[in-house]
Amino acid sequence: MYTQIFRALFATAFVFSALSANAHDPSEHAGAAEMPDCAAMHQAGSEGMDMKMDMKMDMKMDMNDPVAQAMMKKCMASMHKDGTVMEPNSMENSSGGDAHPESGNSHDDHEE
Amino acid sequence: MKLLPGALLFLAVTAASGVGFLYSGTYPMGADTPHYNLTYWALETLRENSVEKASRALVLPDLSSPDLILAGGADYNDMCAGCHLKPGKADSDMSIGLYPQPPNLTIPPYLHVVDENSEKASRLARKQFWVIKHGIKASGMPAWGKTHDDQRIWAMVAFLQQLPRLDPAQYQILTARGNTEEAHH
Repeated sequence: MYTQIFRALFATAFVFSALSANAHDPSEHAGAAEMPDCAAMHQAGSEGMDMKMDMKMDMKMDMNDPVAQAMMKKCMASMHKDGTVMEPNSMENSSGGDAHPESGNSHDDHEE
Repeated sequence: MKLLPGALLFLAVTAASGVGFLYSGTYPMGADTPHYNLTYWALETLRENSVEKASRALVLPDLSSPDLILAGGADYNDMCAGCHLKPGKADSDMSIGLYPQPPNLTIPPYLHVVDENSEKASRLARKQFWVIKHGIKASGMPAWGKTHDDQRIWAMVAFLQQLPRLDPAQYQILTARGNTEEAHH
């Protein structure tokens, strides 16, 4: 008797768990929602940071490179959120000039 | 004519032995007991040729799209990195424990970004799509196509084309899900 009850319970649980395995939205993966650490790109804009090997985050990064484009796209929002503007043209300047939080035009800004 | 009964007997004995082996329980099924080299070669050859043939007709989208790379990066980190690793991580419980061992997608021979338009790279990208979508029997590789559409799978393939040359910092930026909405809209 108990065996039959357990079997019925097991079968029911199995059916429901199988039904729940449907296609899902990408947002379902967003549990932790880790933020991009764009500090290195910030530093590149503000300190002309010491370039690490072939890092594409440096000031000379090739903006035709898909990785550089993707990183710029990802970090652009947080940079604007901070008030820092880092435009593709400024990335090609290796002068190490500041990109100040308040600056709307990073091209024309100078060291204070 | 005398040969026929002998051949039939041989086949019958072989089949009976095979079935007997299946039921004997003597086969070492544990993932910590590797195949013989010949068995491994046979299975690998079977897998590679099957995937190659099945993926031949696939048409590649533009895998250099930044949006595609970003979308694929986040999914890769959630769904794949545990087994196939990420920059700065040489192994994991899954990569060590699974058999066959899942390939480390952060290192060559997947380093084909040098000439990503080559036919070899295209063929590998098609195979990657097929494997992600359909999985591999008895290997631990699931069929993500049952729960993910083709667009998302191509995005992961796009990310894989760049993965071998990413350092940990770049990987973190490209795979973080946070801020995605703001970045795209």
